Amino acid sequence: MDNPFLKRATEYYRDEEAFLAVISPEPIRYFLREAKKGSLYEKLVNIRGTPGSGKTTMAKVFEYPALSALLRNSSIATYGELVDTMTGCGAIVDGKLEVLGCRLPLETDYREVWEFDYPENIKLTLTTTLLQARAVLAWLRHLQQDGYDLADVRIDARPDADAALTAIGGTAGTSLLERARQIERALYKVVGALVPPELGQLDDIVTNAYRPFDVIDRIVVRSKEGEERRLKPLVILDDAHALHPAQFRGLQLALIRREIRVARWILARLDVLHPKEAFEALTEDRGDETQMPGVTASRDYLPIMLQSLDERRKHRVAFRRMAMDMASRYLLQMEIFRARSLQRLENLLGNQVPPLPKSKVEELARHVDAAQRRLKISDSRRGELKSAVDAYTPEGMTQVPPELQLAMLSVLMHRMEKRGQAGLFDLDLPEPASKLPKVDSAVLGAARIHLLHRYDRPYYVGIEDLCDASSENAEQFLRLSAELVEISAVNIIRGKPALLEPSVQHEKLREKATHVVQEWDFPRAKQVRKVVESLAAMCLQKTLEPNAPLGAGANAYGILQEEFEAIPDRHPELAQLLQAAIANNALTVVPRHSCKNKEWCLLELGGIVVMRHGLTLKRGGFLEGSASALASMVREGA
Amino acid sequence: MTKRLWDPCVAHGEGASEEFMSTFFADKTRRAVIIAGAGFDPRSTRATEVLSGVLGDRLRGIFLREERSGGQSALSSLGDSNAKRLTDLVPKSRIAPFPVFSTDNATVGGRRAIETLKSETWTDVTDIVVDMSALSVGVAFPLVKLLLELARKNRRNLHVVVTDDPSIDEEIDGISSEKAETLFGFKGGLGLHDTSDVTILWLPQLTARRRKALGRVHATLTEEQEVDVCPLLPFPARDPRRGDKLIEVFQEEFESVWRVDARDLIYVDERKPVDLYRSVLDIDDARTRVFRKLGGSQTVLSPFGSKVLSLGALMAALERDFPVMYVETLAYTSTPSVGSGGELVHVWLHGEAYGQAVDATVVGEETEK
Repeated sequence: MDNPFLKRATEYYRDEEAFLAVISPEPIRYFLREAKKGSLYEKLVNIRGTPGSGKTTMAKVFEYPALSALLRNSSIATYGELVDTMTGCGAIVDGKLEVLGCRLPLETDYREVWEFDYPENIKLTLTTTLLQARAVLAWLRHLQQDGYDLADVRIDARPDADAALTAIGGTAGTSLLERARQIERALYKVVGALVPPELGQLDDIVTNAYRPFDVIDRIVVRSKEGEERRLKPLVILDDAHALHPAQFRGLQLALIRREIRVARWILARLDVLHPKEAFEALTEDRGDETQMPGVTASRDYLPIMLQSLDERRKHRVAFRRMAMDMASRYLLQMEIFRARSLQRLENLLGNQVPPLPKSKVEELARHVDAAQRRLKISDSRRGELKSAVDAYTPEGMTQVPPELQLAMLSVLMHRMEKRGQAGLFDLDLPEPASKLPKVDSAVLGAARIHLLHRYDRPYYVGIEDLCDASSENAEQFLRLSAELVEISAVNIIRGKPALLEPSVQHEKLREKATHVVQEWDFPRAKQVRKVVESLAAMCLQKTLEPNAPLGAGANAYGILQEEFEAIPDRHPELAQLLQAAIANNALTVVPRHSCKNKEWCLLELGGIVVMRHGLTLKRGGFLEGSASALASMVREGA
Repeated sequence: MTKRLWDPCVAHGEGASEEFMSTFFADKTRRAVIIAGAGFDPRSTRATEVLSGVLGDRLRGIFLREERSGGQSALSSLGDSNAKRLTDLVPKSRIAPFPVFSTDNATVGGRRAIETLKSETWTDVTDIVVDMSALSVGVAFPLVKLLLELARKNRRNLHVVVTDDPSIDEEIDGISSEKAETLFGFKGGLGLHDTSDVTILWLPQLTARRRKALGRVHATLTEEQEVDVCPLLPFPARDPRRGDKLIEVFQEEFESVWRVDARDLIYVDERKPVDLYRSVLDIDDARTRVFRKLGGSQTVLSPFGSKVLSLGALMAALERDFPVMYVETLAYTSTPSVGSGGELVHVWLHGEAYGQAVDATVVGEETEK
């Protein structure tokens, strides 16, 4: 069965309409439309995110073929939101295209230039020359594929760029293309050579001043009807983390110059930065602040971080909305669901957890009785606690199931014990209400997770858990959803209901999580796996404490903020490991978390790790630790 | 059909390689250099043992030590002992260590390997032998390409040997680099504006351990256009079910991602690199005809797994300038069984066998005296 959830969103679609059909406008709206509209096309834009966070997909929507297809189909209702979003981003103005976007993946060719035995300035020139030639080729190719004749394409050059204009082939589309092709071929030959030429033997063509970004202001196209449109050229440099760090820095400096009229975005993963810079970026939530002399973020470039660290609650809600929207679009691609009008993934995920079998409830009751005896809690006090539990009905529930009530009671009794319960015959307690532990969602959360570990009661259930387990990463969400969608489709084929029981969801998601962690395959994956598994084991131990001091439990490790900031200097090995873990969604950094009058930086376990170890997806519970303890954990191989 | 470089091809396997080497190199006028990997692979020393036995002091060696960080120390010790064994076998030899990855994890192995040969002279040998058994694909491919150019220019024989043991290839496990990229020197025009309209046919060699890496290659290739996928499966094979097992492992990819059905599978003889070479060229010929007026066809190879089949892919790539997409291994994590029972496969790539005279005026040490 063809399962589109298994297909990467960035994979090629036979036509742009098919690509647009699975695109949710939410992330673009959330991350880009909020940015100052003009800044997207004036300054250098630096976009950072983890793998699978949707960088490339976003870039593809801004490419000319996608935007052009969007406008062709703008009357179709399903595209309305996307048209509105792209208009909000300034890519469409008055129902017409404003931007001519192209995306250049930097994973190939460019990094090799840095291996040549040439001075750095020459290597940077070769890099930028190849980039600029390819951008020109891509812009012109997009226009040709859209039916324009190159004779009807020209550029508006900056008025002061006469000499540079000649070097790029003039203003006509045909000569521009020819020149860019020559440049690309010459550079490709150098890059692909087993033995690169000596510096003196480099072809003049590749070292001459070919700088179309300095020259081009607008690209002007004339339609068959004679109407002219002046498009703003946009180049999106994707996967820039593949460049050498010095090359990346040089490229940024080259593109930051304000006199460049071409709109330019650089998309990269967080680990492109030096650990110290990455840590600063993480803790200050300013996208990144690469240390470039005389350059200031927000003044000289626009940083956009795809996993925003402030307003986490708002971001989580936004991600849920986006993920559900995306899932619906993918479901629509599957005939088996479309034919049955099953268009919402949330409708396939049942969230009514069935009651535990009677025998298990009885067993649990015996455990609670035993705890009461062990803790020396009087029957009357137990009665008071039970009444408080019975009176508690959380939002969204009509009644708390008996097994949860029993588990809550157990937590409360252990909390009583921690508060110093007087004794079995001490019946005359003053102000019992003030002595009774509070019954709230934290106790319910603790009961749910305790029952998961004691009786394997389904815990990861429903669309919200699925979204939260994805660590706000679109690709991870799709991978997890794929498992569930597949089973639902099989159910339909077998004549069973499409709705997935909570136990099935829970089991499959945990299985998948285990598989994903075992299959991690990125630099330092082995060490990262060891460290996060150790952290998860510690969190689980805390979570399962009978009095549940952290409610639903811990899923993070806290380090004092100032200690965290010093990690790159004091524990460089740990810094590199954390950077790899963060870049690959194994950990998330939550800076400046206030607790007990101290400022903490939390290393929150990724959703996949959380599910594998049966921890809570609820945020905030953390273990107090230190950078040195974590560093010795890494040194000792966790 | 255009004439092919290695059709007919002088190649030996199934016990005949040792016999060929014993008689061919017994000629006292022959002097050879062997270039091999001095790594943890138990196959590292096999070909050198055979050659040193025949050539004695007429053999010199360049043993390449691929350095990766983060691997097992046990593997490093195995590499040390193999390196010692190799230098014991060939006293006139040197160990050339080089990093496979730069500090920022960019793949540089192929380039560094070639740099180790920069100052090398070939005037003292009639034959150059490359043993691919313990060399990674990212190193062996550019190396053989360079040596083929050198052999042509300097009129030398060029042989490539591999100790065939698919079970060891299957056992070797590691952490893959995050990037799928063309091998150094094997770009084949991929990514050029001039080839942007071609239809891509991807011929991956499958191996269970590199499933993720194969997925990465597919994802990279499909970013810009749709690709046709025809996986290469081993059959005949020592384990006749090896191909079926691979189909099982890649079931999800076949059905949901690569869209492969039974008609797309290409079976190649696991022990004969020439079989893969010919099959690939036949397919390329057929597609070239069909796609001539549709922007052309571009065959892309991905030689994961069996070294013998990789040799066939190398020959095809050398002949047609096919792009080779690969994911290098950052660090090896599993120790393969010690002691290889595999057989030696030999392919003569350039020289006398194909009517190209070899410069016999070699300057050996004795001649110099």
